[in-house]
Amino acid sequence: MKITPEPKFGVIQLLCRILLDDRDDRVRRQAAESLGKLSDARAILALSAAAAGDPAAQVRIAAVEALFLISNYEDSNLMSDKPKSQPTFSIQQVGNMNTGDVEIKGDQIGIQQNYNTSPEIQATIAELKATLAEIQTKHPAISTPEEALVAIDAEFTEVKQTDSYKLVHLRQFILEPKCHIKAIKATISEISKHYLEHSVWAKAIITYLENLID
Amino acid sequence: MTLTIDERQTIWDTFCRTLTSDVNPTVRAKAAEALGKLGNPTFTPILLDALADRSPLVRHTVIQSLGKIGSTAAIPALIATLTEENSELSTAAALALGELRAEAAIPALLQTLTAPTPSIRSSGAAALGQIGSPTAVPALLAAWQIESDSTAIAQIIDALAAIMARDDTSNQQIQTIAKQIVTRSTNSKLRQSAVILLGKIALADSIPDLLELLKDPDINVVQSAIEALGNAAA
Repeated sequence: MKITPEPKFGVIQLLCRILLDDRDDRVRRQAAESLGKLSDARAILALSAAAAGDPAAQVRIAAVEALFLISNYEDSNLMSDKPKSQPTFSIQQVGNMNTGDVEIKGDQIGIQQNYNTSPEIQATIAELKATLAEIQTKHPAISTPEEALVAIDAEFTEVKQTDSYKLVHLRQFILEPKCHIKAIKATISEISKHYLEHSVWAKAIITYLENLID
Repeated sequence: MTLTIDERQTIWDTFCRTLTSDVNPTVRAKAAEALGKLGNPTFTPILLDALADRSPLVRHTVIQSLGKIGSTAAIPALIATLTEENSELSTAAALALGELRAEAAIPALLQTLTAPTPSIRSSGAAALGQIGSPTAVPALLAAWQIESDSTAIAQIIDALAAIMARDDTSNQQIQTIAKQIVTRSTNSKLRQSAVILLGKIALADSIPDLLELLKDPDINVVQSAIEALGNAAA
């Protein structure tokens, strides 16, 4: 069995895409609020990217609130016996149903206690996370680093040509890699530090950045 | 659904980064609020740093979050905030110190009982009541008899009642003063508050005094006496 459609995941993917891409502040804020209500961990990357990089304060506020609801949802479940209306499933089951999903789970590039890293690197990593969340949503079926690299390359070629508010730092890297060798290296090491074994996307992004400075 | 360590870390990182670097004070305050609600002492240092934020809104939320988290590491900074010029911030700091049950803050909180701003006096009294230490009794009794702000008076008698419930010696001492006020004071606002205090502790032996008060010229005192009788005779 390859893919079992899971309606909730479809909704979350859609809301994440709206949150990251829609032109209207109010629409993006509403997407963040709905993701908070759904309280699903798969929205964390997109919400976190919105909290860090959305140009509208109301969207960033809604994203912070939604992230709080997600972390709190789990705690309140630990205290009460069973969630009332949410379907329960263990990660194991999700793996059986949808391999692609497990790959995404493994792709969180955590940054642990990195408040010492320079703001530029932090901003870049936030942008990377946002971009990755977006690319992942577009290509849920990718399972090898090679495929992921192709997707990342395609996406970043597009970034080069568009003036996107979200990717100020990342865009500089891609346009003039020679001037940012140090920063790119620091970013790579920061990602590698928290590199997860099965993370196809993390592997691909590191390869991509390394190619930039070669 | 359980969050993985990485997922949790991503959320925490987002809150911390937002608190330290967002350009908009409302967004920073929202992140401070989220950290406070998570209630994890790990966030105390980053919140303490944020006490220096240039926005009063952010500082206010940070103070409240420090109170919610309840880490004693926040006590010195909160004591320092009691003397802030912005009275909303010192009020919030007093309340946070109360939530922390910060005995070390008692001397500084006693000072707030004579502050020029009524809201600071009120919150200082409330905090002293929460801490519940008998050392605050003399200052609370003194403040009670000169206080003119109704909210502050209410907080003082609440604080006195809280300490009476925990300490026998204070209980006797405060009762004696309260009965003296009830029978001798010419200040009807003060008499009324003394009646309310006696009602709060529901003492059977204060019934004769309370009955006497039914003849009081001030209607508010009579009303409070009737209410207190309801408690005392129950």
